[in-house]
Amino acid sequence: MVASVVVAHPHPCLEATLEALAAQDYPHLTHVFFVVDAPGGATSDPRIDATIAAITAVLPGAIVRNVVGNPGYGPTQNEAARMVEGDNGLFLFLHDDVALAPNAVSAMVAEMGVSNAALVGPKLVDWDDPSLLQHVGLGVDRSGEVDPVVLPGERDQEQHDAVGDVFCVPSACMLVRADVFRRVGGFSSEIDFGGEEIDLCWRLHLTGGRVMVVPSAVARHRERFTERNAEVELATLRERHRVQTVLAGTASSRFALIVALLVGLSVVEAIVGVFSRRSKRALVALAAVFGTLVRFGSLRRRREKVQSLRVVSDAEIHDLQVQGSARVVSFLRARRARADAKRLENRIAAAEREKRARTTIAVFAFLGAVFVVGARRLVVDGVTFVGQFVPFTESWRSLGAAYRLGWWPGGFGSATPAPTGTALVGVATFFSLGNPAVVRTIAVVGLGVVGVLGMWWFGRDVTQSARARAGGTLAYAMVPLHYEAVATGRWSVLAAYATVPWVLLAFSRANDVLTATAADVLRRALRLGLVVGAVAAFEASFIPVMVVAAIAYMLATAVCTGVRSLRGLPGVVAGSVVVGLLLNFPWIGHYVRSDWWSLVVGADPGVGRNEGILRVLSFDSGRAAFAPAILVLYGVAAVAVVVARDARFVWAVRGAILAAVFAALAVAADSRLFGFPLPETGVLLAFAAGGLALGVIALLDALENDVRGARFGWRQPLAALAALAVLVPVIPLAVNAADGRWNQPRSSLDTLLLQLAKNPDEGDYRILYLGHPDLLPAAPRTLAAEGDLRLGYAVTDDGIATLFTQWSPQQTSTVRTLENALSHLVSGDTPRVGRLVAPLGVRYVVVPRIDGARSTRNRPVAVPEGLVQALRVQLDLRRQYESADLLIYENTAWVPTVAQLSVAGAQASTTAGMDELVLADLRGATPAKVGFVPGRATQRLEVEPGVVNVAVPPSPRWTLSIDGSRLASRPAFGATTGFDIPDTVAPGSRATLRYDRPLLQVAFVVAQFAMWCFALFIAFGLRLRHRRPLPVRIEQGDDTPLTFGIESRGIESR
Amino acid sequence: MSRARRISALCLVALTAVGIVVADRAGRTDRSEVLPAEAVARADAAAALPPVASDLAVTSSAWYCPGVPLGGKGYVGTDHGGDAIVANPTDDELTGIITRYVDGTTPLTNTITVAPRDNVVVDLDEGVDGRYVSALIELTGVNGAGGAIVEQRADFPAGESYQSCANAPSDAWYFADGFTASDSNQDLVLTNPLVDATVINVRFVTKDGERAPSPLQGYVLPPQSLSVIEIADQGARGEELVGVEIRAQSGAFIAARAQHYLGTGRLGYTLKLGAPAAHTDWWVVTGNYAGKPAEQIDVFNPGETDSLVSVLFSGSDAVAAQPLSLVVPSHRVVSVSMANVAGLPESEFVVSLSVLEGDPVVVEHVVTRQLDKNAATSVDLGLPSAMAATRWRSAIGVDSGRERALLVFNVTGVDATASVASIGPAGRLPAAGLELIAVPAGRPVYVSIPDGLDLVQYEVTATQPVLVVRLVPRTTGVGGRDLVPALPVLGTRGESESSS
Repeated sequence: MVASVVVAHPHPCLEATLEALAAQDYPHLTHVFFVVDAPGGATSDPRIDATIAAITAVLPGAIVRNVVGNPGYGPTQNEAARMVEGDNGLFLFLHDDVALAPNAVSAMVAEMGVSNAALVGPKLVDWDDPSLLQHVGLGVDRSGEVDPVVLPGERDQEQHDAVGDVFCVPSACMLVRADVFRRVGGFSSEIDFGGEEIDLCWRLHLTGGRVMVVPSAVARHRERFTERNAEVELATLRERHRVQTVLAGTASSRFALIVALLVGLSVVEAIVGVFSRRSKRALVALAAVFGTLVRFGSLRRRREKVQSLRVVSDAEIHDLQVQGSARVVSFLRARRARADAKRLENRIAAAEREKRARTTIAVFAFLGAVFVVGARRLVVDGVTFVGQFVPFTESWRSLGAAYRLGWWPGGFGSATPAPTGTALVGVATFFSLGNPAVVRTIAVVGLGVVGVLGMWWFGRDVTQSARARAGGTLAYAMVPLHYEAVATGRWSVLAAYATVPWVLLAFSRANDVLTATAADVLRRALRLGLVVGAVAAFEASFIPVMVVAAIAYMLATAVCTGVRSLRGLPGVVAGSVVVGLLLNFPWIGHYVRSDWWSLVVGADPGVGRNEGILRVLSFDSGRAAFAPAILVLYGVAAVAVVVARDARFVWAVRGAILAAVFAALAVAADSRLFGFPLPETGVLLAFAAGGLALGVIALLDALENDVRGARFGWRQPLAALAALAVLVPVIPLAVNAADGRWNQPRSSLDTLLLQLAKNPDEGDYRILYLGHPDLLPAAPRTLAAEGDLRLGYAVTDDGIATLFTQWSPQQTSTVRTLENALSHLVSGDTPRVGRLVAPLGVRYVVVPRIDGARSTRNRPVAVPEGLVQALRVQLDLRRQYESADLLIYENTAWVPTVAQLSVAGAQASTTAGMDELVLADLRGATPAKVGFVPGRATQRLEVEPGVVNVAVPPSPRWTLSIDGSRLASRPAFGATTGFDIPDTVAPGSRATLRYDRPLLQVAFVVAQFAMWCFALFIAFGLRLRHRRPLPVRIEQGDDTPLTFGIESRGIESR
Repeated sequence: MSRARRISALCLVALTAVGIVVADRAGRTDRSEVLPAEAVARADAAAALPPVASDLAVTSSAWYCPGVPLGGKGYVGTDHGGDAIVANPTDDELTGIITRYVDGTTPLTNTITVAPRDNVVVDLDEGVDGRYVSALIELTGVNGAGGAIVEQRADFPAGESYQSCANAPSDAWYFADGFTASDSNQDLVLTNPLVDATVINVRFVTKDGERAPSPLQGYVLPPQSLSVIEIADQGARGEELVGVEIRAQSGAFIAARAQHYLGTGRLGYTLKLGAPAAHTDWWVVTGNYAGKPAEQIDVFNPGETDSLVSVLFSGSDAVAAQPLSLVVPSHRVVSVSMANVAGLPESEFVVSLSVLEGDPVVVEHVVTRQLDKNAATSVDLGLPSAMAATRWRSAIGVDSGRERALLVFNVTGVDATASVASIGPAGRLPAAGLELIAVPAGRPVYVSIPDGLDLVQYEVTATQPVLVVRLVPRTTGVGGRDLVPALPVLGTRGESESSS
């Protein structure tokens, strides 16, 4: 018999393993050891030499081979079969953390002979506590799911001590007949780690071999593979290999059925997994199914190989398998066991556990109720158009079309790539079955929930205490950031709130990599980069904010535990920034400009909001009631720093630093300390909220571990008081949820703006919004004016603002013309601003004053009254509507967006100066198209001889086709696109306005799509291709073949 | 964890916490200080002053000529009417559009071209029929129309009246003076150049108190129109003092007061713009008290609280008049007659009026000079102190040999020199004999035009901020001179330097 042990990653248990082998009472045992490289090690690694020395010290006759790299368990063990000649022997395959009882081998050999089994395995018990069962064989169902048979923590009371057939035994220790092993081809060379035993046993069953467990043979097994090899995601690999084994081992007649079963189970599991945190596993399985099917050739070869072994039908194999779902069976068994355990367990411990569970359930029940109550009217009545919450009216097709076209329709439009966010919203709309309003409502209602769940998840990395996690989750939910964002219509803040816990989780995981390899850093960077890229697609300032958060986090970590403890975090953060930027390419190129910072942080109003430190620290945007109650959490975070010890102290410091740094930045933004704009206060405060929640977790954790039971002193009352203080903001949270809309106003500017008709008969038009950037319903730009305050402006097409207007438009000649005109407006240079903006299609000038959210009657946001004065004396602007909320002027000199110009207009269109426009009366133009859709490649017009003006920036890619002949465009008024229609064209002729998409844009779209797919697949382990198995290369040793001992040969005949 | 690390971490937390306070203390400004900065437009500031000129490059400039009399429907005489004088001091040709508003008819539009460094006189009454005609003159040029100025001359049988055209419509206009005694006629000429109707409320003040005739509350000025309101018909007949306040409920407009004096100490004709805003500091450059003209200063308080106004007399060593303190009640006019002020010299002097407490006021200056055969009344708006400038411009020419054609007052405490430059086809040339005029600190100085020097359009430049008032002779009617402030050139480099 040859006992083959793969030794990897030396650990303290190896000595016990060796001694156990040495102590076996089975006499003819040849020992072969394969020593594989430790992670990050090299062949000259002294640890390998130490390992070899340890083996030879205990087992002097052992054959030791050093394997270069780590090709995997199965492929390495196959080398033993290669090294040993003959079929009349046995192979004992062992992990290096299995300590056999002295009689284990002989017991297994004996049973193998008695039962004529092909493969047997021992009863595996816990390494540290042998009274705990680990495995007595494994059950497997048709889909390859494993039923572990024993329950976690199940004590050995001889309840599983009957020898019996099992489908599979763990690869930790298996005794297999050499002839059978060779016949089935040994372990699969395509399985490196995870699932090799199922694959081997399945093939054995196909040949009619028996697999049995021999409980009289006992082995201790440490089974902490992932601790020793963090690089390998064992769970993921098991899923993938399970699917491959099933697909290869199933008969052809049942192949389609099993594929459908695997897909169906994965989909169901993915849906269930959303609630039970197991969605990743299901996605991996799903990807494995498709990935295996896609590689049809490989699958076919493998199936041919496996099916050629078949001597028994699938039906017979199914009789050996677990009926139904192994997972359900094990779940039900575990549930029964838990119920039993509950009755049996120590009464005090059970009470304590129940108490903790009650806390968690109470917190989640409360939060669930609060979120349901707080958002009920938003769901039923719909989300009000306030702030950035413009109605989502675009279909996924129109979003996709605009994204592909390479013409960004925001503002006046521009020949540049569309923001990545449009594509993401388009995808979301697609999956909402084409209902964009549902996407909007789900996003508004759900982002807050995502943030809260993220904090719960993040808490797992911080503490084992469910109570502390629940407290932190509650604290994060209580911070009035998310519902203030809902009330004031801030997507950016909501997105930041939802993302921050996940970013902190990524920081934590990146920081905890024991040995950060390049692959590790890449994968984690991709994950974080995906999150960052997705948020940056809507709020570009999130990237620098996240970088600052990472620096604060690293600073806190370095101060507490030293610089070396940072490990992979800097690399992960840097990588995530690169990934985030790449995922937004080419749109992100929009920011490569000298004034990139102002583009990143949004329109700069020139002054701070000056709300005051208390309002800022209270996360109060003006809608929340009792917001100052949240201030107690700052005190809690401070107390956490004082009372916490060890790891809790590190977390408390991280939380406090995050809270303080971002609170300071938010205050600085509010007071405009630096003289330049900072990202939106709410985005900054999202990390402060994360820091406060972290502080609460640290405090509650410290209360359980550092304070309770310690010698009585000032820490106990202080910590207890702080813990009680955590509950103070519960009341404001409940109060603010009461109205069912999170205080969002029921009506806002949109109801007033409905008077501005969409696609009226007199022609399409544009609306120019002027005023404080906070109040504009579209992404604003700002214009430097006298004094500190900058004038914000935004342009939308007729009707109310759309999703397309939510990204700041590009600087184009049209935008420059508008800005020139506005400069003249605010400096009082001309009373004819109406004429200056007439060719741009600007019909209405709207000055919002009070939106009911960020600007209320009690606390109005500054409205530039001088601007109102300037508008009032304009000679072409007719006051359409004026109230305390809103001011609307109609530009009587306007020209429709797509217009057939009057004779005077046609003449003026050939000039390009403000001077000419001031004196030119362009009235008399008629619409050449009603219902112009920006972002659509082709549109039908009705033209007549003269000049057609399209109020979009000039681009040679715009053409007009009339009766098959194409007219090139020309710049009109120096700012728009004009077409000279020849006199030969009959009045009322149909023409086609076309924008030719650049080929480069197609390449960009494809590249960006590929990048997102690549990032998703890599980040979540959804590899389309398997890792190619490493070849087994043995570095040293002679080639003299081994033979089995004579004692083994008789087994087969017995 | 070592004690040192723990202490370091605690210090770091404390430091960042202190950062919050520092960020608040260092960057915070009082919210009330931020709010005034919300006025991003300069338009309101310009609109608050009487007509001014600017050398800033602008896209176009618009001038609102308040109106000239036409004599009424069917009038065919030649002694009513008037002109707009468009002066182009720049080196580029200007083109423009003139829109004329006549009461009862639709606006008329014409185009004009003004050659570089030239004047164009536009006949405002040509081809129109009505009581008044006002005009909007929009100018633009290759490099903008900055620098151009427009003034008007209103012709009336009792004598012509000069007035600079307004820079912008305003939502309020104030007249401190008014006179309907002896059947004197006082018309309010109101032009709405906007495409929106403007709704106004008119209130006037007499010795008996304030009145707000109901027909004039919510009075509508139709879009792009001219309207006339006769004050006497609104219950203010026979009044020797009628202050008028016109406020728009919505919109903006131009308001002028046409005044035909027929007795009770006043004779002649004036057509003047009102004040678009009240101010706290005013100058009245009175001129020469020699000849004992009947001279008064009317102070109107359109605000809601009473104003305490100090009145200082200065200008020469001979001024011995004691300062006065006036209490101008809310919505009331207080007149100061120079005849009642002891110690005024017979030489040039100025009057400074400053609001010490209460709301800003509006100041007008009325002079009735006794001529050989009759008397001639002249009215001019006081000059807000914000108008003091180092450059002044005039579109109204002055003939050679004209004595005391200009009055230049140095508002500073530093002696200054002034010079006059003629602007014509040859460019900007120093006026011979007027290159170096000494203007002592705090003193008004008369400037006479030497023989042989005709100034079509001209510019006065000083080394210190000054005020410039023209004394334009009337060639018809009662004769005498009309007091007309020149136009200060604001927003120039020199201005900003002097201000600083």
